[in-house]
This record gives sequence, structure tokens and C-alpha cells, in this order.
Amino acid sequence: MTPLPHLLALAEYPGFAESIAYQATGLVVVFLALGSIWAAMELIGRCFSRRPAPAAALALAPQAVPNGTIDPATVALIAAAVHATVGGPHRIHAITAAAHPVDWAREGRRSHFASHQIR
Amino acid sequence: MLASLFDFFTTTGFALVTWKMVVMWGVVGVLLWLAIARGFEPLLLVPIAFGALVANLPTRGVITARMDENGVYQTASFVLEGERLPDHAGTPASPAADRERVRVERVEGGLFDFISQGVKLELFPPLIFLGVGALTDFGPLIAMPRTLLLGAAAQLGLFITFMGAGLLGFTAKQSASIGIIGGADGPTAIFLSNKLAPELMGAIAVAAYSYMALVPLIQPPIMRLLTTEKERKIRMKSLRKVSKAEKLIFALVVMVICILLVPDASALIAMLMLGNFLRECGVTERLVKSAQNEIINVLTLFLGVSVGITMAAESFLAPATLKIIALGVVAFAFSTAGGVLVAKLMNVLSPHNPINPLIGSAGVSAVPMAARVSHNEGQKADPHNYLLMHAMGPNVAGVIGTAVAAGYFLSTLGR
Repeated sequence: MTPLPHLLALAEYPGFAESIAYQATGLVVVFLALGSIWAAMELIGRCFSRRPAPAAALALAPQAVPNGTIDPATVALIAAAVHATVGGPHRIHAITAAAHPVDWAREGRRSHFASHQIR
Repeated sequence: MLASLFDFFTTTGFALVTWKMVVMWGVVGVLLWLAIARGFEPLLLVPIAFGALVANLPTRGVITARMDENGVYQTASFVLEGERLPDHAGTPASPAADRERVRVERVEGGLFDFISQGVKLELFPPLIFLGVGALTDFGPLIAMPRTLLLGAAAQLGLFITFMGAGLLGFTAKQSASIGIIGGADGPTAIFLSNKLAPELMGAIAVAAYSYMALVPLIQPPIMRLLTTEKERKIRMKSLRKVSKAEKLIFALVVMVICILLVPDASALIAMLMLGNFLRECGVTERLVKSAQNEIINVLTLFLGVSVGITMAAESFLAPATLKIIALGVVAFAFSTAGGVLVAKLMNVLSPHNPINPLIGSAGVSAVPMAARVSHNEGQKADPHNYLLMHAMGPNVAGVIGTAVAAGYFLSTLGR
């Protein structure tokens, strides 16, 4: 890959004007690259957002919900969450309270915050 | 007997200790204190500090090092011993007149000579990017792709620092290597400086990782200076859900566009997106776990030690190191400002769907610390405003932006 001719001429100790031009070109290249990705993903995103969202209602209603212990809205919410998480065909057999107290929000935050410390 | 003891003393390392080495022991102590007591990027600073200590002890059989006439400090250069072989009769002449056939019988080199080849041959940074890709969720960026511009804007510091370094007497190649500190991306900084200014790699790596740890101190004053209270309270729309197919397409799109535009960034971008593709495709769980854990951990260890090894007193205790540390702050400050200012500009151009300008500063790719800083600053203005996921978009865009900027520097200066 051959660099652009005018960039080849960048001196070891470039002058002020030359340095400004070099910086401007670099910024344009970065914006061009990320702007192109933006444009591409915007187009692709529109295609995906036009597709009808899979109805959460496709998730089968739970069969073994104890009567009177959980309201239908909560059941629908849990069914939608299960569908969004699991995806594909599935069947909810039972909804019961956790044996031990759990804190999913805290666990999610912990997992997220810890995920990139490696760098 | 006394004479024998004296003779023996001359064979020990004590006789070879210089005052510069002792000063470097102090530097090592500071780095270890920052890493252990203050928690500044310990995963990198601890191996770097240990490598620096090894480099400043009179070791034998660990690493070969010499100072070239041009002032470049060379480490991990091998000595080959072998027998020169005669050309086979009747074989065509070699294209290169001075080409010789040698049977290598012994390679002289210590442990760190071999480990450091991972940096010299530019293997470690791209492989670490494999792990970074496997750890990164680009979902927030895909859900709001316009924040890619914030990741691009936050590269402003790189280019401003390029000019600043030139004014302080650095060459163009050295200036580019110093400027990349503003990208807040350690592997990329090491990748670039190894190619353009290996003599400065130790100082650049230390500055980059130290300032990455100092993001919560450096960024907030600049963010508050450039934004109004009203802007800091802007609440952004919830991010849409991103499908698995979109994430897979994103990895391919980023790789193709970036490599077409800046082929010199291929190694970094390709490995980053390979790691991310493995993560998102959902059928390579074992590979993802390896990339997220074993591979990145082993390489981080070797990378840190290899960088530390370059920090011998002869090369590190120079005015250039102080200049690099000063320029690093400039790079971070301008990168932060660039992201915030472009976010404000986007609000002017698109007022119906405003962006909280605080997430612009997350465009420096210190993941996820810069995003956390944006979130925390937002909550200071409005305790019920949750910016973390919005800030992750420009944050991961910054990783791509820094790799592209490094590719630009390499394609224009690296030959």
C-alpha cells in the first residue's frame, strides 16, 4: 500500500503549516472511517427496526402458576423477559419465588463494571 | 582469602550498580505504589514495574541490551552463531547478492529476549485486542450509531499533541507515538510506538496506563468547564434492543470499512472484531472464554513485563520522559474536550434528539472507566439520570477510533 504522495513528503521535523495540514487530514480520516460505519449501521438498523418484533405473547403462558399468588401483568412481564432472554420456542412450566434472595441488578452492574478492567 | 573475597566481589552485581539504576528503583517503587496502594491499572503497572526492576538490575542471561550510537536503546536482540554454508553448485544465483546460507547452531538470548519478541514482532497488542473484542458489548453503539462521531472527535487530542510534541523537539514519528497516549488505549499505544519510536515505548506505555487510571481526576473539570448545568441534566432516550444479527453484521462492517480505509490498522481491527464476532455468534463459547480470560491474561502479563524491560535507566532517565508525561495530560485533555464539544455541536444540528454532552468525554477509549466518569458526572447534576449505557457507545467507538488513528500514523509515517 503506497501512502498519499503529499504525506510522503512529511518532514522529520514538520513545520507549523505542514503539521496543521497533517493533523487535519488525520482527523478527517478518523471521521471518515467512523462516519462510514455510522452510515452503514444506520441503514442496517433501519432494516432491522422495520421487521416486526417477535411478539412476546408467543411465549406460552405458564401452566403451573398458583392461582391468586401472582397477577397476570407480572406473568406477562416474566414471560416477555424469558422470551427476550432465551429466544426461540420455549415453555414456562412454573414461576416460583427464589429460594434465596437475589439481586440481579447488582449482579448485572458488577459484571458490567468488572468486564473491562483487564485493560 | 581477603583477596579472593575481593575478586569474588568483582563478579557480583554490586560492582555494576549505577546511581541511575538506584533512581529507577525509586521509579519502580512509585509504580508499584500506584498499582497496589492506589489501584491504578494494577494488571499492567505491576508487570511493567517488575520488568523495569529487572531492566535496572545487573542481570545475566536474562536479556541482552545495548545503546546504539543514534541513542536508540535496543533490547532483546539475538546473537546467532552458525556455520556459513557454501552454495549448491548449479543453483541459480540468489536475487540478493549478499545473501548467505547459515546453519544456526546456537541462539544467545535470555528469557526476556524471547518474551519481548511478542512486542517487537507486534504479536501481543493485536492478540490482546482479540480479548478486548471478546469482552466488549457494542450493543449501545449499534443502538445509537451516531455516537461513533464522539469516538472520532475524542481523537482530537492525538493530533493536537502531535503538534505539541513537534514543538518540544520530537520527530514526527515520535510525536505520533506520544500523541496516541490521548487515545487512552494501552495496546494501541504500544503497537504504534514499537513501530515508530521504540526508544520511547517504555515512557509512552507508563504515561498511557497511568493517565488511563487518572481519567476520573483529569476529565471531570474539563467536562464541567465545557458544559452548562442544563446540558448536564439532559436525559437521553432509552436505547433500543439490538439483535444478534445486527451485532454480527456490525463486526464485519467495522472490519471491512476500517481495513479498506487504513490497512495498517488491520492487525488491531481484525483481531478486535474477531474477538467480538466470536462473542456474539454464540456458538464458540469455549473460544470466547479463552479469549476473555486465559489469552488476554497471559498476554497482558507478558506485554507488561516486555514494556517494563525497555525502561532501563539509560533510556528512561531523560528529559524526553518528562516531556512525554506532560504531553500525555495535554492529549487526554484535548481528547476529552473534543468529545464534549462535538456532542454539543450535534445538539445544535439535531435539537430534537439531544445528547448529553457528558457522554462525549467517554470517546477516549478507557473502557469502561471513561463511561463511568460520564455517568457519575451526570448523576451529580441529576441523580436520576442514568448515562452509563449511553456513554458506553462513544466509549467503545473510541477503541475503533484510536485504532484507525494509529493506522493513519502508520500508513503515513511507518515506512
